[in-house]
Amino acid sequence: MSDTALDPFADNPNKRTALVQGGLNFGQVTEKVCSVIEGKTSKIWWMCLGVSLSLLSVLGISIGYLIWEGVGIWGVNNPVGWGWAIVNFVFWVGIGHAGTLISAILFLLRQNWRTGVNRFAEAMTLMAVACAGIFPGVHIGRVWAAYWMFPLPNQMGLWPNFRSPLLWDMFAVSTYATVSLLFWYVGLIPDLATARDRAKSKIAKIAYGICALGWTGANRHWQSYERAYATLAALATPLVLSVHTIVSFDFAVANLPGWHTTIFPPYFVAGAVFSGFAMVISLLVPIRKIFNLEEIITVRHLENMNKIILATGTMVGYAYGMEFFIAWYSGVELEVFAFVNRAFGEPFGWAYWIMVTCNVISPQLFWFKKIRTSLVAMFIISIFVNIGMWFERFVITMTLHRDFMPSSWGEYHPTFWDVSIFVGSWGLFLTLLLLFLRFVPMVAIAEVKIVMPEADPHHGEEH
Amino acid sequence: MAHGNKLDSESVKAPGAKWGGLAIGLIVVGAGVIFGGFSMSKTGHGLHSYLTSFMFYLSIALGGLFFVMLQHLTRAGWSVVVRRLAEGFMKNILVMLVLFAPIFMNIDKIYAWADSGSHAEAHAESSDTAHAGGEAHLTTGRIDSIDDVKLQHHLEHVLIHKHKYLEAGFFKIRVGIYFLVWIVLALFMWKNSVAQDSHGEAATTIKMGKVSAGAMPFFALSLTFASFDWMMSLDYAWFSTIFGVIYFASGFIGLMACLIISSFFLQKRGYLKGAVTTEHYHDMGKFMFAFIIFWAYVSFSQFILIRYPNIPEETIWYLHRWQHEDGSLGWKNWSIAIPVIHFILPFILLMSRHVKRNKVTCMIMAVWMLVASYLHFYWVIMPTLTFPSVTNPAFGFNDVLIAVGMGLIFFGGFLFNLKNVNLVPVKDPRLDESLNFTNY
Repeated sequence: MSDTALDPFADNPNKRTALVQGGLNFGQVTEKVCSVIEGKTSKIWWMCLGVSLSLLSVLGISIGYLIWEGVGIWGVNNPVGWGWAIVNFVFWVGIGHAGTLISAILFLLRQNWRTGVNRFAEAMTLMAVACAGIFPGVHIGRVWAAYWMFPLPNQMGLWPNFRSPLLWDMFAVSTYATVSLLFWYVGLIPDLATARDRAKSKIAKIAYGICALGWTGANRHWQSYERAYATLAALATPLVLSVHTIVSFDFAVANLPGWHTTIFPPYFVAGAVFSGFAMVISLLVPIRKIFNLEEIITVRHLENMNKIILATGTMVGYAYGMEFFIAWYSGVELEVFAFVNRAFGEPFGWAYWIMVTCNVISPQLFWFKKIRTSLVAMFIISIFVNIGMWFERFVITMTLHRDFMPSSWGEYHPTFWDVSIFVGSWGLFLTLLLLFLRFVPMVAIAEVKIVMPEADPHHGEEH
Repeated sequence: MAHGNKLDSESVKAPGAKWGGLAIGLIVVGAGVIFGGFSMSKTGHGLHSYLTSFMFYLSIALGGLFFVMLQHLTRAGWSVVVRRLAEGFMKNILVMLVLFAPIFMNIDKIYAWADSGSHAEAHAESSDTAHAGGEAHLTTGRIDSIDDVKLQHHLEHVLIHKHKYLEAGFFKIRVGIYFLVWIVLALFMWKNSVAQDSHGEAATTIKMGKVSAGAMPFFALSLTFASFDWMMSLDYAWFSTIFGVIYFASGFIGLMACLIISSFFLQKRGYLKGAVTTEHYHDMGKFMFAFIIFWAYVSFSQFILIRYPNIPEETIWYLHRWQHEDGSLGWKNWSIAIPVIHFILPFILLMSRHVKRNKVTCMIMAVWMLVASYLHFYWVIMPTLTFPSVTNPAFGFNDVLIAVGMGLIFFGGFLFNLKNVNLVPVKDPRLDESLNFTNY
């Protein structure tokens, strides 16, 4: 089956489309996924890793200089006390929402198509959360005292401020990272065992063997596995909502026009899912092609994700609209000013329109089936969404430059180091991504097989 | 996957005239009961209580519309056997249109902003020196009732600012727009779904899916602004961007509860045999459970984001529901009870799969949630009875009569909608999937 062709029965309500296309059987699915990690390491991979590591070293140098010199090297000032660091933090945390949504919420909703993409999306989640963790970590000034963020008993009787949403953030993000990691790993176990059993080299056999935790595929193992998976899905579901809710509190609990609005929590969650799915599309469109996985990660999978992008993008648009309407309706002059300035004022009105164009208008193209099934179009739109979501956080943060009194107004200009640390964080993201692609089965082999028609005990019977 | 569950085609047929007569009886009795409730109340209280019940039942009808659209939009398989019941509730939007009439005719009595029109103009003409002196302006309407000159000034400013939006003429136009959107959508979904019962064309399912997708934004906006106009504007100085989302969450809980209850009692009467199984009760229970959590999430978001920054213009909404000037308890015990009965207890009780899979306990929890949802609406709406001053709660038999009376009409409408159709979309292409799915 050619790449862009859809199952002609895709829209027929009489029949559910087969998720795996091209008539693959169980063995061929295993073969396709495992061949990625079993083949010889390609030159291109090494080249990509080289580039990623260079970027990663940019991150290292930037952080080193930051710790040496202090946050004064950034463009933050008074009144704009938060700059790119928080923008990048929220950007990465947001991207880290797709994985758990796919693996937990879509699991509870019995969306079988999730099996083709969940492993990859979850891995991406973990990488993005790792990137996000950097920014608050280095932002505190005295990095060597970072552990003070934890409420550790100490002889000075000093405690973090439990009323600060930044502290809640730390709990929320670290819990999310932990549960996501566990969830991802539990799902991996059967596939790691497959990799172990197929491994030719001794080192690979031992390495995968240790990671597979003695999985034999026994009935008992499967039973425990399924139970653990469902429990983790139920635990992870509220976490998907809680993380970005707390992140939205970073802004919304402040007594600040433009930040203080009650729709922030669900609006941020929708935005996070939106950006996460866009990143999955941006990465999967080329990756499924390069690794020849088009029959497992089909256009249908991508189309479904595009529909979620359309839905969440429109929700984000709804939130923008509500903010504006209520700013006017409230009659609070400062609210009205904040929003009008955000959209039409100096100096960042242009950023607002980049945000609206990318986040609200560009996904509307996904109303058309032609566009949401076109690989080129979806790739471009997903890049737009990534840009737009970065700008959304930028626009929100930059509300700071118009303080309450015009005499305290300020401007914000990012410095070289603001940019370099953001660029460097991509180095971390891409390095982890490349390692994942090379060493871990990027499709959940066992789960894909479960949703194939052959897994139905009545398969092939005449009725 | 289990195979071979088949519909008992006799038990999915509605009995026609029998339900028609029953429906008319229910509607007549319901109207009488509402009238009885009214006659026992002071005018203002009666109208506010009526609005409470109206918003409650409206949320269920809109929940029905949303559920039907959502199932088509997501190409859901599990829900086909209960979709017709949801369509029955959805079509009650027509009943709600009729029930809106008393509100439509009493806008100035219910909404404090509507009886202060001339007032706003008086303020606009007054000079700034009058402000500086703290002098009271020419006043009309309920705004007179407050002694606090500063508060009066604040409210006047708010009224002038919102004058163009909160104005009877434009308000009525918006009423028309909301009902137009809902009725067009509900009738479209209804007609196509019923038509499919005879011709069974798959193309109809595809068409409904497409329309559902396109209509979602219109549905979301109309529901949001209706909740702003009809509920939030009761306290016209107060505002919250998440208000519409909370209303939506309530409606979805109400609809799920109604689906569970109607399936249960229809099956008791011998309908829907073999159609709605334990698996469906389990799924409906899960959906209700999920939206109970969602409701708590959005309600808590609103509360914490108002409590924490502590801006007087916004905290006053909760303050009105927490303390009372004369030292009496006011709405405080309600404010404590609502989270407990609307979230904490049902959250604990519904967590177990046994409660959801047992039809009786599932039905009891559904009834519980309907009561909790009504009380929540009561807590949102009734404290604004004498806005800008707070009214102490005076929940009484009259409120019960109005709520029950409207419930009878709503239930009568539901039976009337379904009296001549199949209780299950018998030729839906995904019916077989719905009949045979199992939870894992």
